[in-house]
Amino acid sequence: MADDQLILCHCMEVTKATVQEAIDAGVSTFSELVEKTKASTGCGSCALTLHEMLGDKVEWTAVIARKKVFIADDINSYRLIAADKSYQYPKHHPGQYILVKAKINGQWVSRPYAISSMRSQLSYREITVKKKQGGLFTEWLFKQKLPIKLFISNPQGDKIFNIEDKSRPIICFAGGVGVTPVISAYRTICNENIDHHSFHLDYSTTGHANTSKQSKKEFNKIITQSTGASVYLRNTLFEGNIRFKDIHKIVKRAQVKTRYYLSGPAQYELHVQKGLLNAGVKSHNIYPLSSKQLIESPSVSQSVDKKRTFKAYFYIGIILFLSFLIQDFFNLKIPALEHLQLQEYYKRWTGYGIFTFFAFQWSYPLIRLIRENTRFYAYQQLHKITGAFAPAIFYLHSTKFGYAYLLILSLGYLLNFLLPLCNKDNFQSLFENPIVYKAWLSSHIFLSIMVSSLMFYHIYTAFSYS
Amino acid sequence: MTTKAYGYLMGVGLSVAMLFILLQGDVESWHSSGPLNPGHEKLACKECHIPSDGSIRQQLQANIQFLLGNRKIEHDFVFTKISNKQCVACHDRENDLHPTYRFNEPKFITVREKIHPEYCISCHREHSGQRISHFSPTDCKLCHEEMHIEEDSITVPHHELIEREDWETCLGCHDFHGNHDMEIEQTVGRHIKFKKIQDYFDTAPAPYSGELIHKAKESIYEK
Repeated sequence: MADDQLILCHCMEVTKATVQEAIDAGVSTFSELVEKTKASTGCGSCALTLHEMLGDKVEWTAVIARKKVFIADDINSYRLIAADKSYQYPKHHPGQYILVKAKINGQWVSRPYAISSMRSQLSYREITVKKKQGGLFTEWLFKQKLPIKLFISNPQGDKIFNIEDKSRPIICFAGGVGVTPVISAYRTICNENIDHHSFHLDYSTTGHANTSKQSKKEFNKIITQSTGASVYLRNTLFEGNIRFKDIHKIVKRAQVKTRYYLSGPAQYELHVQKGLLNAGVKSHNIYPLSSKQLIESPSVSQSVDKKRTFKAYFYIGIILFLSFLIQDFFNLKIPALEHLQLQEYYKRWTGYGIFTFFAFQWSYPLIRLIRENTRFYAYQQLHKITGAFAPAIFYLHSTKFGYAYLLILSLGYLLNFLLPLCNKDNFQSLFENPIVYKAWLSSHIFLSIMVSSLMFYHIYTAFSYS
Repeated sequence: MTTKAYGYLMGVGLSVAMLFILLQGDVESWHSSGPLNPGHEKLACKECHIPSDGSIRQQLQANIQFLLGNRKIEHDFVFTKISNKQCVACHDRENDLHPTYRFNEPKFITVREKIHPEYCISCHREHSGQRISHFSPTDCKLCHEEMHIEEDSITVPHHELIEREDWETCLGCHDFHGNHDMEIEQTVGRHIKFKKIQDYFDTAPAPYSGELIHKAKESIYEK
């Protein structure tokens, strides 16, 4: 791709060529350029580049990255210390970013990164960088050995966390590495003993499992030290992406004057914004840190939701189910297994197996009944994954559908496996309709009870007529 | 009322109704583990499933004691276990060529371990919807491999068929229990083909000529 075809303003999708054309056509001031090209009207992180293109003087500070902290797979924090040791960094506001510039293959390349160090940290600035596949700057940065020579700008951006105004609670929605500016805010609150009465973070990430112990520890420390701070870790691998329903729930519990800060990939911020507006939050209370603010009330344009992705357990379940159907339909039986399934001890032991499976699946609603905690989502995930193996568990006990009441039991069992497999994780857009969800949930519960009672009846019958 | 409550209420309500219906005496056929075998279609459950001694509480108690090791044998729960007794109650007769009791002789120990011919249900499993639920032509081999007949009258002598491992021909001339009043075919080649035998084992009528010598009782209560 030619250099001038590069997108300069990602929020408005303005290329470098478009900006250059405007400058060539005679635009000479920053405000004119912004008005003409619409660049920098989103998050503003390209403002400095626009200034540079206009020939304005931009102040760059030479820094050296001396320390690298492993945060998670493909995510590192870099501590940038000024080359001039007497230099003291100007204070920044949590939410602000700096431009980081480096010479790569003879070309100067700059990228904006949110500051993750606290406001009063004057001896270094910390940025947290996620390695982007095919990303010129990050791939270069990750390859470099310490110390790395870089140039950074002064803190930029007017989208900042208002942590001083304690009268208004703050709720942050962060997605992935977008949590960086939130960390800065948390660190500042913690360090300056700002007794913020409510600062909640809903953090969507796929990387819990790979997150380093150190960063987890710091998170816990911040949460326990500062009053009013709370974090909900939304493991998207387990729970799927944040849904409108989740946002509704959060908004329902929050105060009207709450400020909502959003930080993450553009698509994530857009989705959460739509969810918040949908839940009745006024647009002036929503502060997306890196994308354009939505003003208009969201219509039915929920394109983000329409992308259908199936979870791994969905495929496992479907493959097992089809295999079961095929083996029965085409009579592909394994003689040894057929023989075993006629043996009393085998029938009993595999029967105990199914019973245990049922008991395990029932433990989930029981846990849910007792308490909704963060680990509950892990149970839910376990419930879904275990459920996907239902046809295999059934196959071990019986390779056939059975006869009379057993046929009803088998069909009920498999229906109660198929129905929950087609859940909101796999058919998101369908489940935006609350009626679908209600019908789904009540049917699943209803079928579970029916199948369980038939199972008890089967145990009674099996022992009676042996 | 919440969605979950609807689900629970509906589930419990219908389950109770369903179990109530299933436990009624007149829907016995719903308990069946499979279709009855040919010839047994009209049999009532109670012909084979005879109530076990004691009340359900006593039976449970006895089995708990068994599980705890305080009792040497399990006690049949609700109905007595099915054994040859139920089968011979109607099918017992003289001159059976392969009566089950014969296989209790010590010399049949290997074959007993392999295919359990001492039990009727090893071949005639009930609720399978077939006459024979298990049979493999090589089952004959287990006892008849060493057989040698003096003055063999058939066109291809038995020992030759055995050498050829042509076990599929056995039942083409011989009826296993010998309950068909028929002349035994002497010409190998004119024997009943194995496919027809298999169909008979399934549900088809007998391919053997001749009437049945012994007719089974229609009920165990028949005198």
